[in-house]
Amino acid sequence: MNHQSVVQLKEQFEQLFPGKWLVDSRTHKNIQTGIPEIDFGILHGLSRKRITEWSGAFSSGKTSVLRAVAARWCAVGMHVVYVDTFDRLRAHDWAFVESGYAGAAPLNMVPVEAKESGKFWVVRNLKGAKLEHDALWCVEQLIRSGMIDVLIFDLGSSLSISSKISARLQRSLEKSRTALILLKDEDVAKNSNSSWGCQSRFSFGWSASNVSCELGLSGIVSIIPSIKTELWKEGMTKNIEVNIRSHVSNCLFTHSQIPDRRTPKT
Amino acid sequence: MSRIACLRIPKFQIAVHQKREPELKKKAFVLLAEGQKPTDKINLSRARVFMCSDLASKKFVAAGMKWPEARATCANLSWRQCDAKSYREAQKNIVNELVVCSPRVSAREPGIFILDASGMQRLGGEGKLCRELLKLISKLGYTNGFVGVADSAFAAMVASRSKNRWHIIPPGRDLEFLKPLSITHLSLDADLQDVLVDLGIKSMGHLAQIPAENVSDRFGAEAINAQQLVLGFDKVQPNIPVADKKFDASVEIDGPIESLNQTVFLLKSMLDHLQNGLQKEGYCAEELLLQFFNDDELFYDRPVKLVRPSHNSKFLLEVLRLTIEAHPLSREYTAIRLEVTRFCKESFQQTKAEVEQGLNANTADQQTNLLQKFFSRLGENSLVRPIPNDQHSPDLSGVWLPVFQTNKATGQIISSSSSSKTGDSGGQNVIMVDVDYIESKIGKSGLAAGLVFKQLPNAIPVFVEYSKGAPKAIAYQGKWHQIVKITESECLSGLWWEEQFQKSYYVALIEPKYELASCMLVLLVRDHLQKIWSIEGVFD
Repeated sequence: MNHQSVVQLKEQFEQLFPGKWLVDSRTHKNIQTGIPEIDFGILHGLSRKRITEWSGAFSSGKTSVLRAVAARWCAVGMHVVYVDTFDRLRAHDWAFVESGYAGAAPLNMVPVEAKESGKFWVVRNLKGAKLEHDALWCVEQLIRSGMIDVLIFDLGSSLSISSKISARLQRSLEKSRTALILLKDEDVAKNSNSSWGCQSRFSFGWSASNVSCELGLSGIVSIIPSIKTELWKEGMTKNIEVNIRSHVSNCLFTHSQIPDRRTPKT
Repeated sequence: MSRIACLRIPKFQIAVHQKREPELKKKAFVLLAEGQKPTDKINLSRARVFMCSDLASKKFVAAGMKWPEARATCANLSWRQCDAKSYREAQKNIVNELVVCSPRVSAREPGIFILDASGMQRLGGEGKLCRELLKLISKLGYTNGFVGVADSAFAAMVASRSKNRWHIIPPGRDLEFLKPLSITHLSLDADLQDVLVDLGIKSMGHLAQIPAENVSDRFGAEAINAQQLVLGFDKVQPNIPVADKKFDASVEIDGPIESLNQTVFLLKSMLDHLQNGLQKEGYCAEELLLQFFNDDELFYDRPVKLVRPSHNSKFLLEVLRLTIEAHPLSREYTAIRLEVTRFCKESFQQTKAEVEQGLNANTADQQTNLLQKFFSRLGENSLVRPIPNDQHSPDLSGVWLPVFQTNKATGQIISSSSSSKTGDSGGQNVIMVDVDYIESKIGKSGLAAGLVFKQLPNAIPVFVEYSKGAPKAIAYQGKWHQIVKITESECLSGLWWEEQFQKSYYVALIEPKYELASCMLVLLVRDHLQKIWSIEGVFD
């Protein structure tokens, strides 16, 4: 029986028993990140229907790595939503994520050709006393919608996931195909523990010993330290160092600036 | 030959205000106009008089005066702002009443109505029609009215300007009536009118005598249209008025209710009623108005916008439930009213109208429901997507646009990506980035660069220590941090036409000076206008 006959047979079975015979990228159990150490190590990528913690100090490179991975997911047609609980993101940094371009990206990231562009949405403007309540409502609704592949929930340093909330999120996740990532700012000195119910954990931090600087005409124009990462899953850990590459930041400004007409002519 | 009657109510806008507030009849008052600003925001020092009441005119107040000037002329002058919406409503009400006199009635500019007056000979004559019209509007509260009857709408409108309460031009005598009258009745452009007067063409008779070819060649299309009007070729005809459709439902309850479950139950029955009405007429709701009353007192009045036109009661009920959850009732209520304030024709091209390209119907439904939930509970700007903006300032080089924008005219959901291509971003000014230019110069990867920046809610002022003219250490969060590495400054300035900024941006790798802790990559900013150093955010 040749390969083509097998494919046809699978298609016929799929019509009889939907969702069991044809497996596309959206029904894979794990989502590949494009970083070989994550995809082929102890983790085998990020698990759908599970909670993953993505933590590090306030400034540790965790969101930059996540953005590079999110751009890759969008490039292969996945839908990614970022819950920016505290309105800290700048639109400029994320403007081309849907197109698959993310600025700074790990050096060893496997390149991918953008086929069908996925969506990248951001939940913002959650203000007021019920901020935590609203953020959790958003997360639950997005999971339940059944159309999101990856959901990034920015907990900042003040929010935390209790056992009760974790159980509720896990119940919602089991009925969906979403991978939930909890993005958490950690105080290094406090050595905080992972959130409730996390299946895997990534811990990030700058490597002060390995800093790459781009030199311009009169000095340094860009500083990009490499990132130390600790992967954890079911008691097993692995340490990796991610080197980042990026163009020197160039503004999107492509037209000439309007002159200041108040300046007197000399 | 058709016969057309024109009913004119002079100073209609004034009459509408006087009808609404009868005490204004005894006062000198003016209508002020300053764009479309709401009443509480009108700038009185700049507003001009649009129209004045008879009492104000007698005290030498005239249209076009500035408000301070008019107030100086008449000390006890009152003012109201022009309210085009209420004038339109008043006109609509009058048209609905005038149907009694003639089946074909149309409203023209404010205070002018044209009616079909054909075949009145056997119904008491045109004189009777005029009397009935004046009697009818008098009953409606508009005591001052004039009627003109002629073969064409234009001649009838001119006839209604005569001093008599009504003026009937006998059939076939329109040109004879118009000939001696001034060309000012033709509402020509001021320049053209001056040219005609200078050439001695002062009356409509003079204009009618000039051969059409000459008029066309020398004075253009406007003059030829005016000549056609004088000669009786007026295409304006009254139409049969279309009755306004209204979809609403209300429930009055014996005892007060507060519970959400009971409210949802009542809303369900009201929505079923509305669904029947909408389906019968072939309409879909675009916007609802939900009102709660407590003993005739309206205490909850909330418009509910829909991201997708719908008459599905289940969908609408879910939207209303989310709205009440997001904006809870402050007290118990005794009556509910639900009105469809905006609706559109039902589209039978469901797939094309509702589904974004590349989505199957199931995904589109999931998306619509998700968007509606966010819209109802958290507002339009809760779910956004980042769009590049061609500005050099880091804060302005990208904007957040709502994921959904509802096109009211066609009832289609338009994704913001499609609207952003045209630069129309629903209120926000987005200058499109020339992606092709960047791609051609530095490749696709040049579109985005650098690490992710996370901004602090408020920039934190810091104290900077210099060594050899360069920042060497900063006091941040109560601790001294040594600057391990720092970039050259990126000096940006601009926006002098709005809120000027002049800043030098540095990316600095810092680490605490006297304790062991991880380093941070921060954006250190020197504000040259305020002369302060601050940290605006970190790179993460």
